[in-house]
Amino acid sequence: MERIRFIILSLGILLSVPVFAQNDTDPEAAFNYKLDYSVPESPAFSVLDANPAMVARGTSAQELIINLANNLINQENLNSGIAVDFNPFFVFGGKFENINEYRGNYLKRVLGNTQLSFATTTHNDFPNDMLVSAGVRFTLYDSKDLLFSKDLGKNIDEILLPKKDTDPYEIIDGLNDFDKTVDYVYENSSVKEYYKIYNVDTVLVRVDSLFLPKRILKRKETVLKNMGKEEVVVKNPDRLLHRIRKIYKLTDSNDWELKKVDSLYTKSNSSKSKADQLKDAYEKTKELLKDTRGYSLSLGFATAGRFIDSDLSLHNLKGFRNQVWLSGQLSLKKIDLMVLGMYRNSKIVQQNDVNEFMLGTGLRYSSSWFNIGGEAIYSTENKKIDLGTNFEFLLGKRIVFYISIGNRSNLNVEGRKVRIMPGIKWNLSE
Amino acid sequence: MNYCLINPNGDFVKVILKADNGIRASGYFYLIKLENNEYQLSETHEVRTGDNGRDSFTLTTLSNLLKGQILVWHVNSCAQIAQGIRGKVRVEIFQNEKKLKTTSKVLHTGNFPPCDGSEGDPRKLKNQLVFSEMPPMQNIKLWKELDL
Repeated sequence: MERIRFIILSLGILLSVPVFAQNDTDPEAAFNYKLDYSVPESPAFSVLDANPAMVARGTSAQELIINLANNLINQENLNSGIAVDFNPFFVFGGKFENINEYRGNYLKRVLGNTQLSFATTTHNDFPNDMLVSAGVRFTLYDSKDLLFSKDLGKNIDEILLPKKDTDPYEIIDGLNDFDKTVDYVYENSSVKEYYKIYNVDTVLVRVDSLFLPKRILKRKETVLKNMGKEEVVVKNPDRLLHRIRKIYKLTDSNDWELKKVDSLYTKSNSSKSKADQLKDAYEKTKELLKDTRGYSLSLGFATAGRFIDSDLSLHNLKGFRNQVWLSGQLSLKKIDLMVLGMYRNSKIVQQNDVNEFMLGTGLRYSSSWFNIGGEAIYSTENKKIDLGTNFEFLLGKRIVFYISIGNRSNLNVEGRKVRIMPGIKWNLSE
Repeated sequence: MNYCLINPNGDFVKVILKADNGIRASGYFYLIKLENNEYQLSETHEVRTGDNGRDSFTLTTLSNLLKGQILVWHVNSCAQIAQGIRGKVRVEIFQNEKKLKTTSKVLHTGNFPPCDGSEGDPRKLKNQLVFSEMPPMQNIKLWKELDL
């Protein structure tokens, strides 16, 4: 029963994501967000205790994320859960004027780094009820935000610069971006002339210029390198050849040969692509930042309720828990030191509300493909220290698998239980 | 063909490249003239919108010589705020501190790939306009309707 409810609600949340993501111009804009490896914990999961770690990260969160937590390995109160995290500022059309505004307008920057989330799970204490939660998290400060790096900005500007042309014909020819549509090359090796054919027999232009006939081709070698051996099928090759000769007054020769170009000649350039150069610039900046100290601070609020008997009407919604927390992070090379202060109000059935303060600290080691963390949390209500450890592994570009192991004191249960919680975080990529 | 209406007796023409929402754009503007049936490159200007989202330059060719000359731009662009990939890059032409009219919008809009290279190469923005003399008074109404 619980599983069926979980699946139904999960589907509901997944289907609701496109609604959040829609704007009037591009309904798929939100799906372009990519999942970062060190994405912070979901605020909505936090209030349900479904996060792998209690001590949350303080770094910027800017993605659209789906979190799946699974607690089926042991028989603790909490069962499987799903959360959707997204950035409301950009999803609902917020914009920055420029990078300087991002750096200088604190309020707007905080909004731009706000994470909103919704989650649901089931709970053994309320087997017939459905738990739902909503949370918001503001990144108040993040000294390692890459948008503050002026050097990175300058590097990007430099990399973006295209090749500077000095030939006016190249410049005008470049407007047409014919390189993208070249299909075939006519070659005459004896007279060292050859021509690109765009869209087969519809457009014919010289390789080097649209406007200057009989110019000597500058990039002949590169083009030849990319010629395939495949036979070209053209509706009427003779007519095509005749047209080429007529238009460009080609040398009269029988040595003309039509060849297919198997890749664009511009791509044969051995130098790095712009994308690779940009990646390198980012990696360099990240490496530099890794070696420096960094601080981040975030504030979160979350509330959770349960629908009695899983009836999704408002009068059946009962309060379950509210919490507010402040978390900070100090980054020292690959080690992060994290601290957390939290106030939590829980409504336990047949008991008065429980108000507790929680203090936590954690350490995390980050490598290029995995994180290992440990934490200790003290609660004023239980007067006990809970310990936990968690692991995160990068699976592919957009999926992180995590597992946490620790003991969690339970307010209405004597003693402490060991909890093992695996889960994944991923994006709904395009 | 996109035409930009200039006053041949006015000041030097100023060109501004603007990018919003943290988009960065860098590239070259070329001024090309046709002389004796041959195109000739008369000016080249490098632009980088940078952190401010804008850059500008002033053409050194006298306005009365600009008629028929082509302003071509080859610009690459990307979104530095990774979540804010939607934006606008526009070219604006000014003379005597007034924005000049063009027959169609000089605007590149839509999604821009993130600057971290994760979605591939930067977006290429290429276009051109031809400088033309302001039409006689009786035609100004017609041009107004074509303006941005």
